[in-house]
This record gives sequence, C-alpha cells and structure tokens, in this order.
Amino acid sequence: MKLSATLLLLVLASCRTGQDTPQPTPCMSDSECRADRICHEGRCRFLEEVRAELGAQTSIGGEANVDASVPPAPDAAVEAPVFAELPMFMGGPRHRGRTANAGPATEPRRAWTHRTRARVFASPVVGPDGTVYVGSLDKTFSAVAADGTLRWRYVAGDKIYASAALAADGTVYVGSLDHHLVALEPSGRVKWRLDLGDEIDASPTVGPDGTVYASAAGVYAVDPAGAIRWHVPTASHVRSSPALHPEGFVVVGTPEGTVVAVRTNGEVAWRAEAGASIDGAAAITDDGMIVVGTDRGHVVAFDASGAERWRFETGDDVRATPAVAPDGTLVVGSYDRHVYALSAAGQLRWRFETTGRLRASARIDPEGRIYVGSQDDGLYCLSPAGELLWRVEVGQDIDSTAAIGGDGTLYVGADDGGLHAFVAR
Amino acid sequence: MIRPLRRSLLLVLLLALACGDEEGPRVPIPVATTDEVPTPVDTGFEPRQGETFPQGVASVSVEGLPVPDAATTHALLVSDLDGDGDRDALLLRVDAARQVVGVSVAIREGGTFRVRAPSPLPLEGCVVEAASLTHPTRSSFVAEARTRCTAEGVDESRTLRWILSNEASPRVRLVTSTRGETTLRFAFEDLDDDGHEDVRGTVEAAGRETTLHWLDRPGGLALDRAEPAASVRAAMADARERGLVLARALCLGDDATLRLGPGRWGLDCPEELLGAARVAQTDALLRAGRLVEALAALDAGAVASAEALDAAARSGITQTRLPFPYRGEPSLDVTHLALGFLASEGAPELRVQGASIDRVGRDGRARPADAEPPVLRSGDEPPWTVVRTRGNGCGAEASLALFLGGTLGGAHEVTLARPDGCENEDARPWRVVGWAPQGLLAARLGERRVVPITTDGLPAGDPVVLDADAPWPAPARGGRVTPDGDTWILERPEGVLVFSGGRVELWRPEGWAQGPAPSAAAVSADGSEVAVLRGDAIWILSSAR
Repeated sequence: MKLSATLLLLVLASCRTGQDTPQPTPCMSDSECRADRICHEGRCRFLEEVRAELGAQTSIGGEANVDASVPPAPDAAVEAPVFAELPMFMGGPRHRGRTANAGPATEPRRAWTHRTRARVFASPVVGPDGTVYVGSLDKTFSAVAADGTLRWRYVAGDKIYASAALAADGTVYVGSLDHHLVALEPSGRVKWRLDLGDEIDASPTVGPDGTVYASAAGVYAVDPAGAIRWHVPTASHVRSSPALHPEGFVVVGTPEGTVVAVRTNGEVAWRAEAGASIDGAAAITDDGMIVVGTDRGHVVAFDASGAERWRFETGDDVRATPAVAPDGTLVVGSYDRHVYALSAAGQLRWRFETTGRLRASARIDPEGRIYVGSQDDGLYCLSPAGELLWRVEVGQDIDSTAAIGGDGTLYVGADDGGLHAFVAR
Repeated sequence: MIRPLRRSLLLVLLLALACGDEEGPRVPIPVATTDEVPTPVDTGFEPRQGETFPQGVASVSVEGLPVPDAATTHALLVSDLDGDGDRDALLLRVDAARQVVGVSVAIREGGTFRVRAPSPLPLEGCVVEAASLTHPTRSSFVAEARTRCTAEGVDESRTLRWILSNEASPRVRLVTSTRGETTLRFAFEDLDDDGHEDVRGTVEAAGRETTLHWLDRPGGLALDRAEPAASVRAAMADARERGLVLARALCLGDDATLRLGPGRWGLDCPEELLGAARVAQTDALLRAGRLVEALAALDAGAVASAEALDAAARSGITQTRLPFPYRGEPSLDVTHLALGFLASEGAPELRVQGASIDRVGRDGRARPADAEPPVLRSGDEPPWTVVRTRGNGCGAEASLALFLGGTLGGAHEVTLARPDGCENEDARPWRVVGWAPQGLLAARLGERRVVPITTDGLPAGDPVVLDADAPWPAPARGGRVTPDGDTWILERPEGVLVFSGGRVELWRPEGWAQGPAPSAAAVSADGSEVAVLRGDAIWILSSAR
C-alpha cells in the first residue's frame, strides 16, 4: 500500500539526524497543514507564531525578507505570497532559486547516480514524495525514487533540455524538442500531449491557478486540461522559462534581447530592451524587481513597469537565472567563470572564481549556502559571503541547476548523462 | 565520379582480373547506372587498329627482326611501348601446346625482342575465330579474341578481352571473358583524378546495360576512390561467393551467360546462378555480423543458408519443449496469440492468450486462467485492448487498432508507418512488444514506435519514433519486453532476435530449422529465457548468462 505523501514526509522528517526537537511538517500549501496551521517557508506553522516572527523581523529594520504567508483569496489572479519551494525550475514561479531544505554543509558523498545515455542539462525537480524528475538529451524523462531506483521512464521524440514542473495535483509537465508539452500523471501515464509547433527547451511554469506557462515560438498559457488559453508570439524561439510576477504578469526574455511582460489574460503589458540575447529565465525579487542575464555579459534589473533600474557587467555571457537570497542579494554565474553576488541595487558584493564557465543557476538554501555547478566539472558550495565551503568533482560539465530534497539530498545532472545524488557524510 | 556500391542490389559482375603478370580469380566490381562516358579526346593522338590474322600466323617480324615465341599470332600492333624510340609489338597469340590464349608484349632491345606473356586464359577446347588489337588512347591497349567452344558437346562462342596499360611499362589491367550475346564496351578516363586513366566498361546483355568501373592504381585495381591501394585483391578472399552475387548483375535475361574464373565452373544464368547469388549475399552479411541487414534482406526476398544462420546465432542457447495443444482458434477480433511469463508460486509459468487464457507449467500441463488479465489488455482504468496490427507499411499503412474499455466497438486506428514500397508485401510485420505507462510499444525489424495512450485510453498524438539505441519507456509490461525495457525480442522464422544493451543476438538453438514458424513469443523478466509458441509446442530457450 502506498504511503500517502504526508505520511511519507513525516517518516522522512522523523529520520533527520542531529535534531532534538520535532520539526514542523513539510508542506507546499496550506491545505497540507492540519488544524489552524499554515504553510510558511515550507513548513506547517501556527499562524500566530508566523505573524509574531514577521513582526519581529520588520521591527529590526530590515525589509521583510519573506512574504507574508497569508492564504490568498480564492479568486486571486496572482501568486499567493507564500515562500515555499515549489517543484519547478528555480523553486517556484518567481525563479528565486531558494530551497526549502538545507543542503550538505560539508563535502558530501555521492549516494547514487541514475544513468541516462546523453547529457543531463535539465535541472532535477523533487516531488512531494521525494521522487526526482529529470529529463535528458537522450530523449528520456525519468522519475527516480529517493533511493535511486527508476520508477518510470517516458520517452519523447527528441531531446529534453528543460526542467519539469509539478502542479499541486501531482501532474508533471515537461517539454521537449519534439515540440510537445506533455502532462503526465505521477504514475507516468499520459494525460495529454500538446503540440506547440516549435521546440520547447525552456522549463514550464505552473501558476497558482494551475495554468501552465510555456515558452516555444512565443509564450503560451495552457489550462490543466491541455487547451491553449492564449499565445503571444515572439520574433523568434524563446529559450527563457516564464516567470510569474506577483503583480499578475508573465515575464520572458527573448533572443532579441527583449523582456516581454504579458498579463495573465494574454495582453502584452510592456516590452523592455536588455540589449542582448536572453537565454536564462528572469528572476523576480521580493520587491518585484525583474532581473535577467544577457549574452553581452550584463545582469539587468527592471522594475514592474519595465523601466531599467540598473545594469551590472560581467566578463562574458550570463546565461544563468539569477538567484535571489532573502536579504535581496542576487547570485548568478557568468561564462567568465565567476559567481557574482550583487546587492539589490546592483553593486558587487563579492565574486568567486571557478575554472569553468557557469551555465547553471545557483540555489540558495535556508542557511544561505549557495550551490552551483560549473563547466569545470565541479559542484560548488559557497557561504553567503562567497567563501568556498566545499567542492566535489562530478566528472563532467555541470549545466544543470541543483535541487535539494526533503532529507537534504542534493541532486544535480551532468554532461556524463548522470543524475547524481549527494548526501552528507 | 565513382558511384558507391549499392547495398540493395545484388551487385556486380565478377570478371577475370590479372594485375601485372599474375593470374587470379575474378574481380568484384561495382554496378553503376547505365550512363556511358565516351573515351576522352586526346588531341594529338590518333587511335589505331592493329593487323589481324584470322587463321593465325606461325611467325611474326617487325622491321625484319623476328619476334620469338610467336606461336600462332592472330593480331599484331606495333608501337613504341617503352618510349625509347624503337618499335615494339603487342601480339594476341594462341599457344596450342598449353591450350592458352593471351597477349604477348615484345619489347625491342637493340637487336632482339624481350617477350612477356601476361595473363593467358585457357582455351578449354575453344578455337579463336577472330581477334583484334586496338590502341584507343595514348596509354591503353585493348586486345579481343572471339572464340568458339565445342567442348563437351557445347557449341557456343566466348569473347575474351585484355586491357593493358602502358603508363609505366606494359601491364595487363583487366581481363574479361563473356559468353553468348554479350557486348562489352570500354572507355578510358581518369575517374579518380590521380593523373592516369582508369577503365569504365559498359556491358550490354539481353537489351540491358550495366556500367562497371575499375580504378587503376599503381598497386593494382581498386574499387573505391578512398582506397589507397588495390582493394580488389583483398576482395578476392571470398571471390567465388562474391562473384556469384556480383554476377547476377549480368544475368539479365535467358540469353545472357557469364563465365566465372579461369576454370570450368562457369554457371549458366539465370536460375542456378541467381539462387546461388542470393544465398551468397545473405550468407556474407551473416558472416560479417550484420544480422539485421541480413534479416532485412530475407524480408525482401533474399535467401540464407541454414548453416550461415546457425553460425550467426548465439552459441550456448539451450531449449526445452513443452507440448501444448492449443485450445480453440483465436478470434479475428482479438490480437494474435500472446505469451507472457508469470513469476508466481515460486516457478515461472507461461500465460497463453488466445480465445482462452491458459497457464502452462514447466510440466507442460495447461490450466485455465480466465481470471488473469490478458497480456495485451491494460489493467488500468479505463482499460484498453490492443487488437490487430493491420498492414505492414509496404503496400499500405501499418496501424494498430485500439479498443477503449475492453469492448470490441469503436476502434481507434493509430498509424505506425506509411507505405515504404518494400518488395515483399508480407515482410516487415509490426509486433506489439508490450506496453508502459506512456503507451504501447511496437516494433518491427529496424524500427520501433511508442504509441502514447492517455489516461482515457485514447491515442495521444502521433507515435514517437525511437532511435535504434533508445531505451523503451518503463516500467514495461507485456510479453516481449522486460520490465526495465532494456531487453526485448522479435520472433522470426529464423529464430528469436534478442535486443539487449545495444546489441542484437539471434537465438536459434539446435534443431530450430525443423519446425513451424513461431506464432507468439515472450521473454522472462530477467531476459534470460524466451518462450516461443511453434505449432503445438512451446519452446523455452535459455541463455547461459
């Protein structure tokens, strides 16, 4: 008999070592929490407790670095302001890159590797039951159990570059270069396949109402039944994963260097020029700023109206998606081999040098640790101050953005075709 | 431009080859189109014909100097072959004592002739009726002798030709021997841009033309532009068999005949030679380890010997047989008989689905198992049933018919393949290998498809075409694939093809050839056993893994 997701999470939670006090139940939405608890920062917490905590943080003088975890109104058209990692690219529709779970603090060991036959470019996504979902350039999409065994495998007609996105009902959405956006049940059965007429190499994003936003020849909004709600064409193929802004619009970057904001009803709100091709996704900061990287080496920030706020120049292409720390620090890698940390105002705080280009995006755990892979074959863990905590040699280039499971296992793909799982020693 | 060897044809004519002074078996040569390329015009050079002596002459002199060993000369051409300013000679001669006919090269050195006689051909009781020597290009000579052969009660004519090159010193590049109403025309052209002439021959027989090429390299004749040295000699290793295959190219009608080799084993076209040629080609593919190509050739009408199939099969396959009289006839609306391995009660059993569903133990006893889900019906809700594959993509579309809900109405046709015009309408049948959460798994030799099926039991768009090395979706269920999708099988009259880990093996145990074609097959979960239903017996094949 299958364990329910909640029970499984409880089992996993009870297995965590080094903790003397019971931990709040992991969650992704308020509906998963019992009684009068709400889901705040990935854990079921009493509402009064959270309000007190938020009030204390605000009074210290900093900008509130978490969203108020007040359940959204049922008809809200914007993302519920809850900080909880969601199983999609960069931890949620705003692509801030924060994880709900802490990753290895010291150099980990490799627990297992799931092998595919070609590069794993996509970022793995961890489902609520601990299943890890990842696509490969060998055209397969795998659901791998937490112990490394294969649960099921879907085979597409062409390579899979993009990460998957899981909806609240467990539906798994993934796109492929075979032009299809496919919806799969957690069992691997096909709910529907939708031909978007162009290669899909950007990760889909699932909105709070279940709408799936995908990039191909423009931006698409697809309902959970597989019908296209709207389509905004662009001049060329879009490789940027849609980001959802809390003010109710979808943001993508284009190869022409344009940042396009589309309201959730399909109307274009504005376009802004970043000046060069945008390959990565936009990140939406806590204060609603939109940050992208460009092939001219720039990190560019726009406000919610599309006005450019600042621009920072690195030494080479910025193809990763910036990660946003709770204090507003932006962390992003560049092809110039450096990991950059920028302030919310675009000032350099620090930079860390690797020996390879950085295509992967960074992830930031609740302790502020930064996890990022490099094309020097290394997986790095940096402190919030940019100091090296550890590095492991994976063996080949890493373009995949890491994910961290509920038990702290870190998952990352690599050019050796492997989905690697690292655990604390 | 040399045209590439065409796999789909039974290629090429094997003709006699002599390089330099050596005799040897005939040369396999590529078949190209029937384009005829005229001999390039060499301004400043005038083609010449030599003298002919239909009755033959016993002695020959050039400028008063006798040519030794003249034997019986039927044609003479005088030319400065070695470029030293004096006049040398080419002679087409018959040596009655040795019963050979050939070209002699006589090089004048001062007051004598030094004579070489490369590449003689045996007369075998034939007589030369006509001969000629021509000098068509600056560096090429062609000698031709038409003979009449009456040995062993056979009255027929043969035409023998020698092509000689004179770029370094006279040497024979090519010798051909054809029989009957066969016309062979030669053109000389630098086909591989190496600065000297190569040979292109056009054979006309029974109203059809075939063009053949040889690249003349310093090391000898070559077939391929990319080869630095003579490849033809390497090909002679199994020249006879390849020659049989290649000779078919000239067996273009009842009147065309071809002599192979210097011996007396010339074969008549078409049937004896054609049959031998077909087997030789497929056997050659099997020996070369090109199993799938060989089986594809069989599907297209080729023939393979049982010995070659046995040799190509994996060794160490054991077999046991369970007598199983099949109960009833399979319904035409239900898919073909299906097998599946069960692992229950500690011993694997087989599940046979047709009009009834039975469980077959290792003891061969069959017991009804109507409560078991059929191999090719999903256990999901709503259930779906796979029914017949229709067509095979040759003359018509190949498709699967799916029935939703386990009923036999409302079929949904899913096209697997468009017509591809293959020769054999019955060839390349599709098999349902099994199914996975993603949908149905279908395969035929050389192709695989996944037919996505939605949770409503409906086809979800076009089938996904899998690359040769792509894994199946998983977990896989059904008779012909293991759950991890890594091993799967296709049963064939020649044996069972087992695909695993990127390799393909033919499982064909001893005694396989004596038995009916398989009607169903299944593989065990670990891929170590294959069950095949043949007639009224189930063969269990096991590998020594």
